[in-house]
Amino acid sequence: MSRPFLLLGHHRSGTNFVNDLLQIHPDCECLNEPLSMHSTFWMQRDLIAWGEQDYDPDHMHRDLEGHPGAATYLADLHSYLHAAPTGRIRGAKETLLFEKLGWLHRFAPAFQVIILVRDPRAVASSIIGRNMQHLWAYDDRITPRIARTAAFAERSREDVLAQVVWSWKERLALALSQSALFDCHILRLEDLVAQPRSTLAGLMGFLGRDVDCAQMAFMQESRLELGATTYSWSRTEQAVLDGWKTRLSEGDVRFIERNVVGEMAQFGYVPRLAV
Amino acid sequence: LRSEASENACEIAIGGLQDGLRRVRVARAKLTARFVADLFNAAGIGEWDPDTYRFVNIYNPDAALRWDSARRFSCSAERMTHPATGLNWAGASLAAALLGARLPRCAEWTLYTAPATAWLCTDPEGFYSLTNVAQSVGDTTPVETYPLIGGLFDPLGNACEWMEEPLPGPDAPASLERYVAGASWSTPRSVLETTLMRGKWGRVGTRSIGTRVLWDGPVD
Repeated sequence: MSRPFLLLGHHRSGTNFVNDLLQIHPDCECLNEPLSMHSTFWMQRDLIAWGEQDYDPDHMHRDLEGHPGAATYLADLHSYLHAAPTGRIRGAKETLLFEKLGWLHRFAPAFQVIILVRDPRAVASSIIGRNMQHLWAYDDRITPRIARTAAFAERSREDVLAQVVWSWKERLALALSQSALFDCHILRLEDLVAQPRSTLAGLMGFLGRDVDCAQMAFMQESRLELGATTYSWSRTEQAVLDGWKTRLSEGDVRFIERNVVGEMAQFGYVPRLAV
Repeated sequence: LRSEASENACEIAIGGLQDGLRRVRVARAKLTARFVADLFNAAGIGEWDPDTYRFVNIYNPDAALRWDSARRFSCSAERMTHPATGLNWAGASLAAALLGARLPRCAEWTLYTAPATAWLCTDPEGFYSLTNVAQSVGDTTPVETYPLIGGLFDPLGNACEWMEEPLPGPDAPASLERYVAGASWSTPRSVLETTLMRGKWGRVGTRSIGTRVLWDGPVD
């Protein structure tokens, strides 16, 4: 039986695009945010950590005990993801759960995890440019947590850039701290865009599959300027890689680099000398 | 609502199936968001669980249908005539049943979309210029925006369609995978030209899957 996978990435990191890219493979089914876009339960618990010790064999998690609808849905999802017919693989993309990987490991130990990373400057530019912080309730979920982080003191806690940078930094740290529990593949969106063939081969190899020709055709098609909207899979290479350079101010860029320079160097977004 | 839907159907002879030649009526257009909202409200269907949904995904911020503060289904003025995306398989089946209809079977879908697939094969650019696929628009469109093809609106575009039958396999009911046929506003050309039918977990309602219903037998 195939092992299911979880594709995990921060908001505006290209997760829809990679979801579609995986979905196009004839052997793959990738559900698009089956928790966060199909329930309020998970959104309301964003950034509330669930560790391995929180797994409850009777109720999956004690918090689910009083939420039978969410519990049934989760159990059904577990069954579905683990029951792929021979030769096929099922998975899900999520933009939440970074802080719940410990619990997930007990709930579904067979999971393989793909962590999708994008340059935080591009992530910030995309969220701020589209005013999307409201969609994910950053004021409610991020701002109270920023108050406890001295490094962000130079900006107000309500500042959207500070919210996005804190979110990117903390979620990535949470995911990486638990990634050793799983077979884990780190994927940079920029590599997928700039070197699609080799990067896609690495991703599909991680899932035990060869690249399908339809995936490469989709990669080509995705670079065309179509009727692109907020969740579109079509972006030019230049827009993905360099769009933030014209949208962020110098001060914004300095703020980002000052607060996450270590992580940016780790993923090759700034030279290691900058740390 | 039943007669409105039924009168807007296209009679098609379905041949070559296991049970021989028979006639069915296929809805000319996919069910619209306003129509499904009216239908479910009239039937007293609701989404009462505070955490998840039974029939209509009301949690996607871009959903065509909402479960509003008056505890009724509604839709925005802009989306009223768009396909009722967001219905899961159970929701699509329920809508069909309330209309005295049913969801199409894969073999039936293949036959009633044959004119569209033939056009796609012989004149792809002409086809794409008059179909909402591959993010040419970037969203769903009102169901009667593009010309009829083989008597149907959007046979291969705007929103995919739930099929009646599950994929074969040993799946437990909870993991049941249903066939979804056709293409949506976001289906890339590279997929449309190779894969017109695939499995989808029946539990989820998405922004790319709509519902077309079908009646057995000819027009009364």
